[in-house]
Amino acid sequence: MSENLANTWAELGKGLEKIYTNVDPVSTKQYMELYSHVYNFCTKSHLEDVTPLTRNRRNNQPNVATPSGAEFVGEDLYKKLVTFLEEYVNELRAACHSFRGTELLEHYNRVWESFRFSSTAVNGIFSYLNRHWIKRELDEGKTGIYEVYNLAVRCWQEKFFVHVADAVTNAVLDLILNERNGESIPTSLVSGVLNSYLEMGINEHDDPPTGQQVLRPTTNAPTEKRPRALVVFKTYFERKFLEQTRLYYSAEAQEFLAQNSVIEYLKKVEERIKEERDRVDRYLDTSTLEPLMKACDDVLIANYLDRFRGEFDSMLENNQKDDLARMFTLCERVDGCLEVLRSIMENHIERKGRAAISNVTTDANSDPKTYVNAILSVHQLFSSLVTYAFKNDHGFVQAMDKAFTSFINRNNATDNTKAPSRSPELLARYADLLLRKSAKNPPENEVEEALNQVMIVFKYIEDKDVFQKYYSKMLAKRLVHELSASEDNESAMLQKLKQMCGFEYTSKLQRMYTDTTVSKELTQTFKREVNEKNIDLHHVDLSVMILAHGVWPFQYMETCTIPPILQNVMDKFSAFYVARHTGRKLTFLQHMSRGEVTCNAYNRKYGFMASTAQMAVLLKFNDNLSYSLQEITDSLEFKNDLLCNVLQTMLKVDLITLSETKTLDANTPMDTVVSLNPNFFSKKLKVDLSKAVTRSEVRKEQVDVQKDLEEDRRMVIQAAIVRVMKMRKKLAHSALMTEVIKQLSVRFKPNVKVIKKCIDTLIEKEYLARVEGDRDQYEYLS
Amino acid sequence: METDSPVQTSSEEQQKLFSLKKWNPVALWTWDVECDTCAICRVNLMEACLRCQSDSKSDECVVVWGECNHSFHNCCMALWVKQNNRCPLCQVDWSVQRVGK
Repeated sequence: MSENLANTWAELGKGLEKIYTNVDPVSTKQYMELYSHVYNFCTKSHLEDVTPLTRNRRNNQPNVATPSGAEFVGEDLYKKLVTFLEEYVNELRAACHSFRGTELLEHYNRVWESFRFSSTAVNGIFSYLNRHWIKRELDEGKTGIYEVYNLAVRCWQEKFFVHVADAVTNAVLDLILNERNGESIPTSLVSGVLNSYLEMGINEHDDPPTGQQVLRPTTNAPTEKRPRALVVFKTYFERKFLEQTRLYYSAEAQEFLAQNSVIEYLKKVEERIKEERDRVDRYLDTSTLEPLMKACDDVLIANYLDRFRGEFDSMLENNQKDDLARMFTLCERVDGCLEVLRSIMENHIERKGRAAISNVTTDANSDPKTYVNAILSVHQLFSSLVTYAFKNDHGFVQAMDKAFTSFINRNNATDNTKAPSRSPELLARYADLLLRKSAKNPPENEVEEALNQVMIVFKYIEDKDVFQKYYSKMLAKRLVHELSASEDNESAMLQKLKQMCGFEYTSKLQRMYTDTTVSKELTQTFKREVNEKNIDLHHVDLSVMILAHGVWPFQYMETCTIPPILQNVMDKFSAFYVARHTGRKLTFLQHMSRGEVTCNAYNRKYGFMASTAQMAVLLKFNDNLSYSLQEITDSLEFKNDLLCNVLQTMLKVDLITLSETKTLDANTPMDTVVSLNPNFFSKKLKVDLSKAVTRSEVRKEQVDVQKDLEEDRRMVIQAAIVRVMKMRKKLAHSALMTEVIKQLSVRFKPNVKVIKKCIDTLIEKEYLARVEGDRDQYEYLS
Repeated sequence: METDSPVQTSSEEQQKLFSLKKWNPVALWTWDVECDTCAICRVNLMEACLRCQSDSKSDECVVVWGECNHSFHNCCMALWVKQNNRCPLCQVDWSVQRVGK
């Protein structure tokens, strides 16, 4: 047998020598001969040693134990091969010593490439050995035995590679360094070397992936490559590479920032990161991308977060969109980095918002449009910035929303007035301006857009209930006095509010709308009946509004005795109405009712739009051209100082004159004489006396809303408490508070003290009780 | 500047300096009731009872008066009389005086 081995090896050794040294190409025939040598050697020895046991094995009974070596001959051949490879590789190593730098890499690549190629061929030649003896050894779990190709690679690694690895890696790193410094380098050298590092991974094992099936022992393709582990690559290259990267870039960053601005630095970093990404694509393994990017992020970005932070605010100030976008993209790469920027932006927007409002504060109190537009221009600026530079990142959008909520609800304009909810009021007034008939307003489609803008601000309003109150007051006036510019816009606006706040928020507003429509129909029906039954309305053209009590923000208010004709007309209408609607009664709202009075006193025939009280006063002039204030007050039974308001606009348009004084207020003596101005003139034939909204009226509205608001809120809070308790039955004080606040925050920000008071009220009313022995708990009493 | 001066009109219809032309009176309607809360469901009579509110039949929810002049939501009372045919407030036998419209 040893003779057999010597003969076989003599042939094989020569063949291997030829293959590895690659002097001239090995022909297919030679290749086949070498294969046959291996085959013959293995099978011949095999036949000599046939035993019954092995026959059993060949009859597919693999579980029968066999004495090792008795059957599969190959160990000797394997040992010979190992010796050959080791000797050959040692020679290679010796030849390698003289090379340095690029030359070393070139040499290494050349030698590796040929070695690898030859080893593939040798693997083929020894495939019989692979399939039988080696496979069997491997199946039995022997260590230190490898398939032939793997054996060759392992040999390379142990006898050659570990001795030159440092030199080779350093040469590679030098090349990369050169490239980073702007030189062009032969990248194929680097990728060649790194491929050899990766190839050496075939004998290493990463932790076996869990859940994956273990390779079946009877695989038909023993030459199939096992997945390569990255151990060699990581140990000998990547670790050093990353270390060098960190050193290189931290030095560069320091130097660059010493001479350049952060803005320039950002550009540089962006460029560098792109370069590194390209580098991985071009000649590194993709597995390096992640740690490489991490290294870059750490030294280039995370280290300079403080510098970024310092610059961010001024970039926002100057609206440097592109630089901000760059900073965002870079900081996005580092955990926790964006949070810092977000909070800076939040503060910045808040500051900007407050400043914008301070600039217009004096106007804002009287001019809702200026106020809202000041907010909108800030919003326009930052929402486009957040979209453009921060890609609508969720956190930035949130920070922006928080800033807007904060400054819209608390700013100069809201702090300076006694009414704490100035923003919702001004916003509602602005909406009123848009929806009201006015020559100043833009065309309908632009108004629609402006209303969308109103909704942007509305979203940020905390006291949405205050907005609702003002909105309903003003909608009521628009509807009653027919001041709406466009029905489409009115209902579109209601729709928007409903969408954002739900059905309940707009249900009363909706009912107001319905009442208006029903009233129009009612007026028509009444007029038909007047014609049919010949009812005398004293030539007064009547148009009534019948509103459901509790829906409209109007209260009964007495002003003065109304002219008998009107009283008569109203009585006739009431009779008609009550006949149609059993069980209802009507309360006439004098102060809301208006009409037109024709004037025949001058050459031109004027028509005066007037409130009912004004109509009453004007009719008085039919009897006499002058009265003292006292006389009017007495005869028309004016309440309090209302007369003053009634006369105010008449005085303003010069329809009446006063004796001795020009101004009229609560202190004007009651014996002052009011006379019809004989020289009255107006360019317009229709003169509106009722229109002017006085300052006192605005203030009264604010007081009303505030008073209503507190009462309403108490009710809403109590309802919320009962709802929560009914569901939970038993709840701790703090938990109840949290839930109530959460439920109500869509409408307004409830005051904690008020909630406590409401809880006490409910305990008094026996809706709730404190739990015996645990005073901090409440329970629901049904 | 040219000004108009008051003139005494000769025409009979225009004898008066000021005459009424148009009037847009505004009035609130309420149910003509003694107590504005429905004693059965505790909801204000100007609003629909809770059942009608949740069935969005608010428009149909009207008020009913008994001979005793007590008033309730018509639908609340309709359910009540099935169990007890007396007015919940005064215990007088219930008979409808009128139904709101």
